[in-house]
This record gives sequence, C-alpha cells and structure tokens, in this order.
Amino acid sequence: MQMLGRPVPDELPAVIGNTGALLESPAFFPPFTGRLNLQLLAQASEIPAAQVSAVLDVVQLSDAADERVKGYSLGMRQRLGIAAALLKQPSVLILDEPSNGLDPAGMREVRQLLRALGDSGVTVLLSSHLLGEVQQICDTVTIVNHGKVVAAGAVADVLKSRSSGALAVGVSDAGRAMTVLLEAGFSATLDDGRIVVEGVADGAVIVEKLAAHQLYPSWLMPVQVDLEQAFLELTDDGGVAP
Amino acid sequence: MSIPTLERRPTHHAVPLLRSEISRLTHRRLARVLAVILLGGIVVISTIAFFTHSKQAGTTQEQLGNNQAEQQRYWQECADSSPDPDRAEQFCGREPATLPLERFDWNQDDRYKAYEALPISLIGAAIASAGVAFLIGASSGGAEWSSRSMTLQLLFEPRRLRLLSIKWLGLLLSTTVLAAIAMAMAVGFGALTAQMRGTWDQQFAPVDELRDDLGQTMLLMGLRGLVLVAAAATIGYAIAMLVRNTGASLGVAFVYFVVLENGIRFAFMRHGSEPFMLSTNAVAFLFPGGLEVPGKATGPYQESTSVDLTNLRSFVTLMVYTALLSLPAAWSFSRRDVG
Repeated sequence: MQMLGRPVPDELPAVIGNTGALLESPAFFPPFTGRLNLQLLAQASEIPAAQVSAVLDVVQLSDAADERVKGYSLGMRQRLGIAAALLKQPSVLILDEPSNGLDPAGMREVRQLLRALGDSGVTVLLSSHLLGEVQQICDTVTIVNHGKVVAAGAVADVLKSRSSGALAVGVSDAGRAMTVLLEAGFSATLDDGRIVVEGVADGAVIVEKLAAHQLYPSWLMPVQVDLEQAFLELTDDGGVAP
Repeated sequence: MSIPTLERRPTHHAVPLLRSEISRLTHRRLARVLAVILLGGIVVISTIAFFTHSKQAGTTQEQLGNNQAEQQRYWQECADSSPDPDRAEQFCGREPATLPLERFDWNQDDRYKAYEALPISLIGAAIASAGVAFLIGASSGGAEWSSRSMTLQLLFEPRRLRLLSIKWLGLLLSTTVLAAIAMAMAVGFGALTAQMRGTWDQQFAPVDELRDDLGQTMLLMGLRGLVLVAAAATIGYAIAMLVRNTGASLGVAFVYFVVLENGIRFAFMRHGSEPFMLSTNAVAFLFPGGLEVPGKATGPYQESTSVDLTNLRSFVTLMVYTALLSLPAAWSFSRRDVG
C-alpha cells in the first residue's frame, strides 16, 4: 500500500508529517486544557505555537481552548481531535467517524468544515457509517463489503449506476391517474401514494397524457437511490461500512 | 476558513519531543503535588531538626563523673561533720547514688553531628525521592493509558520504541532533577544546622569512608541515590506499561513489597533469600560500602552466614530487577494494540 507516493507502513515516518488523522473518539489528556494538549503535540513536532491558535479558530473552539478537556462535550472533543489532525497542515486528512456523538448542529458544523477543507485542497479520507453524511460531503466513495471493494467512483456515478431511470409523479387522484397511465401502456406502479413510472425517458409524455384526462401532476421527479440504498443493494444488507 | 501555511514541515527530532514530554510531565497535577510534598517534607523535617538541636555540647561523661564525685564528696563532708555519723542521712539527706555513666550518654549531647546526620539525611531524601519517582512513573504511564493519549501521539511519532524511549528519558530527567534538588536541600539544610547548632567533629562518623572524606563519600552516595531514583521511576513506568493502569501498578508494588517480600523472607530466609530482596538491595546500594545481610542458615536457630552486599552487587541486582520489568514493557508496547 502506498501513501503520498511512499510504501506504508514501512515509510510511515516519512509521510506522517503530511498526514492528519482522527481515529474514532480523540484521545486527549482530560486534566489539561484543549490548548495545552495541542501545544504539547505542536512542541513535539516543532510546529509554531501560532498554528495551535489557528486550528482552534478553524474548529471554532477558541473560546473554550483554555478550559480543561474533561469538561468538554463529545462534540467539542471531536472538534479538538480535528484541530489536532489539522495541526500539521496535512495534505491528507484521515477521519474515522468524525461525527461520532455529535448533535445535529455539531454534525452540520463538521460537514461544513470537511467540505471546506476539501475545497481548500486537502484530501479528506472519511470513513463513516452515516451514509447520508458521506453522500453530502464526499466527491468520491468506495464501498467495501467483507474486505472487498464492491463499488468505487464519484458519488454521483455510483448513485447513477444504481438508479433505474424511473420517474415518480404526484397527483391528487392517484387511483384514476394509475388507470389512465396503465391504459396508455405505461409501466406504472403505485408506491406510497405516488406513482412510479418506468421506462420513460421524458416526463413530458406523462404530464401530457394525464392532463388530457384533466389530471394535473403536482410534481414529477426522477426516482433516485441514495447512498444508503445503494449500499444495502451492493452489500445485500450484510456488508460493512464504506 | 484557512489554516496558516507552515514555513517548514513538522519534524521528528528527539530533542523537541523530549522537551514536550518533560513539559507534559511537569504539567501533571499529581507530579506537582508529589514534588511539593517531597520538598515540603524535607523543609519541615529540616526545620524540626534545626530547632531540636543546640550548639551546646551538653554534659560530657567526664563532667558527669566529676559532678557525681563532687556531690559524693559534699555528702561525705556533711556526713563526717554530722553529730552522729551513723544517722548522717537525717542531717545530710540520702547519699547520692553513683550511676553508670553510660546511662546518661544517650541524651546529653544536643549537637547536630554533621558526620553522622548528613549521610542519614541524604539517604532519607534519596529513598523518599525514589518513592516519589516510582509514583510519578506509575501514574504517568497509567494516565497515558487511561486517557489513550498515546494513540494520538503515535500519529505524530509513529515509531513506537522511539516514542517510548523518549518518554522514558523525559521521566528519568524529571525525576532525577527533582531528586537532586531534594537531596541538595536535605544536605544543605543539614549543613546549615551543623554549622549553627552542631559540630563537624569527625569522631561521630559511623563508618571509616565518611570519616576519611565526607565530601566525596556523600557525593558518591548522592549519585547512587540518583541511580536508585532512576530505577524506581523506570520500574513504576514499566509496571504501568504492562498493566496499563495506575491503580493496578500501585497494587502490584504493594503486593510485592508488603506481601511477597515478607512472605519470601518468612519462607526462605534460612535459604539465603535476603541478598536478593529488592528493598534490601536498594538500601545496601545507598550505604557507603554496602551492607552485611544474613545469608544461608548454618544452625537450627538464628545462626547464619553473612553476605557482604556491596554497592556494586546491589547495583547489579537493582538493574536486573529493572531490566526484568522494563524489557517486557517495551516489547509489549511495540507489539500490542494501543487503541
């Protein structure tokens, strides 16, 4: 296995300076303040003290930086962990379950932070069971099932590969609309109050047919699988996390 | 959102890592509390020693003998001049008793005797420092495992044995500096007390080495004290690395010193176990010239050979104990899961 062009773990010391990581829950010394924990890590690697303040700013922890870590919430510890990973200004950031234990607001903050880091040129490698989070943050995804890669590529491509191309239609009188569409030869099914029509490239023909019978769709959209659904299909509901 | 660009990439040099480890250790509250207790204890004991000694030599045995003889002479004169020598006690009181002078010797001289007390102060400070070093070593190792902070540090220095060696070196430097300060304080206060409320008379030296050259013998004792402190810190840290918990490390030490050593003494003393006891070797290592301890029994009762536990022999035994604990601890850290 190679990382940043070097074989690892043999040459891990050579690439560790460019790699930041957060492995599940971050392990800080609870009686020390958040700032002191980072300062000790920075001191060990001759990273300037100003970098500590900068990464605390990035994770929005400056106000609590001088409080002891044992008083931090799980979300604050998680953000401090991300700050520690950012200390080295890494070109690769490896994060394992970074949203672990965060409340919805915290999860959104972390998502925004990771997206922003990715936009700034950092390669963020995210391992997560929260597939909605992966779908929102990541550009590419790899789904692993029992140690084997079962899907890999851009998130949009993976989703597209699992999509049937069907269209979903919302109509007030779904029963009558179903009859109209079936009589017109469409392959339609009623699914949870909506009509799913398969094998139609252009939604306009559906709208036209329904309108001819005084039925006006309130909405029409392609049926998309989300990453969770794709994952379950790919792993047959028994796989491991991407 | 942006992170300032680092002018140079993070390094993996040993010195900054060592400095960081010393800083981590000295920021720990327990280490600070133990240091204050150690140094404060030395100040308190030294102060008590200062105020319980006096510059006055007190009454010597010769003076006591003269006093007794003089009282006897006065009484005899009184008795001789009494109207009835047979009833002299009615006129002169009871005849003064003449007691063995040795009975007065133990508390008659209040002086602080430098040649006797300074080595004891130094040994006391060294043993107390070794105890504190053990606690600091065990608690710092245990705290690292309980907080799992080691996993985070390995993301900055992934070479485990290198990280462990530097942590150990930081522990040794911190504890030996603390011990050096403690021993210097004990000897310094002792010297001050001897100067102001005591004597530097060589006749009070308990062993020839001290009488011949107090300074050099004390210096060597101090250096051996630092070695003992380093061994204690290493043993404490090694046990904590093996059991990964401070409380368990202290429990292991308690069981060893209180249960195991005494149990071995009870069961195997007659078979010559004493020269191999860790605590016996620690004390023998500090004493100038070492200690004579009981060896194998030669008779059914208390008769036994004696073993000359020299400083060198006790040093080797101490190092064997230290290696027996620290090498498995290092191996375990390099191989086991640290998460």
